[in-house]
Amino acid sequence: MKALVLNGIGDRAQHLDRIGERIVQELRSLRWKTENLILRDIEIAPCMGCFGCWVQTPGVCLIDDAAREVTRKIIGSDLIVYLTPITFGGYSSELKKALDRSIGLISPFFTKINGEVHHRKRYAQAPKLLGVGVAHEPDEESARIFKTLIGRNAINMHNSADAACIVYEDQSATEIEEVVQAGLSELGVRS
Amino acid sequence: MNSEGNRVLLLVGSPKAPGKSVSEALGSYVIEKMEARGWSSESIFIRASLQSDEGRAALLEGVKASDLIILSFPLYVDSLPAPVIRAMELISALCCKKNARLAVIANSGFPEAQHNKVAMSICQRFAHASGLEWVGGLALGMGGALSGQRLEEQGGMVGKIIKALDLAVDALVNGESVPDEAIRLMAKPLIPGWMYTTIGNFGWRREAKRHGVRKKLGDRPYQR
Repeated sequence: MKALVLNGIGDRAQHLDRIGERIVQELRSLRWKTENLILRDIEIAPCMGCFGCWVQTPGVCLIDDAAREVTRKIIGSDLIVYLTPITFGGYSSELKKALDRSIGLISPFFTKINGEVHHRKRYAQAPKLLGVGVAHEPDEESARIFKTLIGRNAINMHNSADAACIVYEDQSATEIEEVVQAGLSELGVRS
Repeated sequence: MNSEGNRVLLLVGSPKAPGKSVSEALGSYVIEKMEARGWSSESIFIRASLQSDEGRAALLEGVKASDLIILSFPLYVDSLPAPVIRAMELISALCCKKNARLAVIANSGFPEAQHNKVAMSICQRFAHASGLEWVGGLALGMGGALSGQRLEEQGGMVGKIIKALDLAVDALVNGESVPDEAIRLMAKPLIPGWMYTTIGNFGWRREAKRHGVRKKLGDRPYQR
């Protein structure tokens, strides 16, 4: 089984990379082939909102940069982990730059899911999604927004399962490991 | 409220070129109405401004000098476009003008305006983190039915939008929050939902045909 960690931690918070490393260690201990993509080191241009990935080169973004490979890796995985500092309740710009460029993974055509309009699937199976938000301190509202965002993304991107967890900057490695393990258990990745 | 000397900044969150985005059309309408009420204004395109040190500096200066910031953006993957989040990260690290306020206009390509809800919450948290007073947001669905043309030139369909924006302007120039009636009007479907999705699905096929890929629309280029 393959896992991909999309590490959206920015330049000024590199000390938080240890959280990504714990996630990778945990997944590898479960015998998952795991890749940790440090997005701040990858040049990805902003999505231009042209919909070329839907109607010009279906499934492939018109911009020829590293985002194409990131997108290929996302759909080639059984599990993706969004690791991000919780930024006003949402994702960091580093994580979001990759996600904005991945909408070619779904179809432009509309369908209804639970009475609400979304886009149809392009691929038969999309990976499970684990959101790991890093917070400086407890903030209920930001945590609520983050968990809702992960759930909404999972609907729109047709992830086969989703879970979200919050870790704190000052938590020990063991505490972080426990939170991540709980998230993986919720997804059925860990028994 | 005395409008003399008040300054409004429009931040356009769409990555599209000037004159091409719904975000700009909606935001510019508000700005023009506020200018007519004696406010001075500035418009900044976020994606372009982040491409250079000078652009970033101008963005931050613009924010620091404003009494009211209007952020108008398209919904991207349930949230704000990456460059807008980058701008927020930069802005939150500086001191905004005392008593400066933030209002937002979100537009989504889905028929239901409720898709914008998470993005609205993010904007509210951003305001809180940046010392800006949150004065509310307008959320629009069916953004795909609109264009980058001036709002007044987009026909009768946008009547409710114009009414919503007019109500918002009235409130904002008086130092009040975006009224509930404006929020309600903005969220009202422009056309029936089934019609929007039918036209939308037809539009995807037409565009694909134009590019010679009509039969490739369902391709899976990254299939394992």
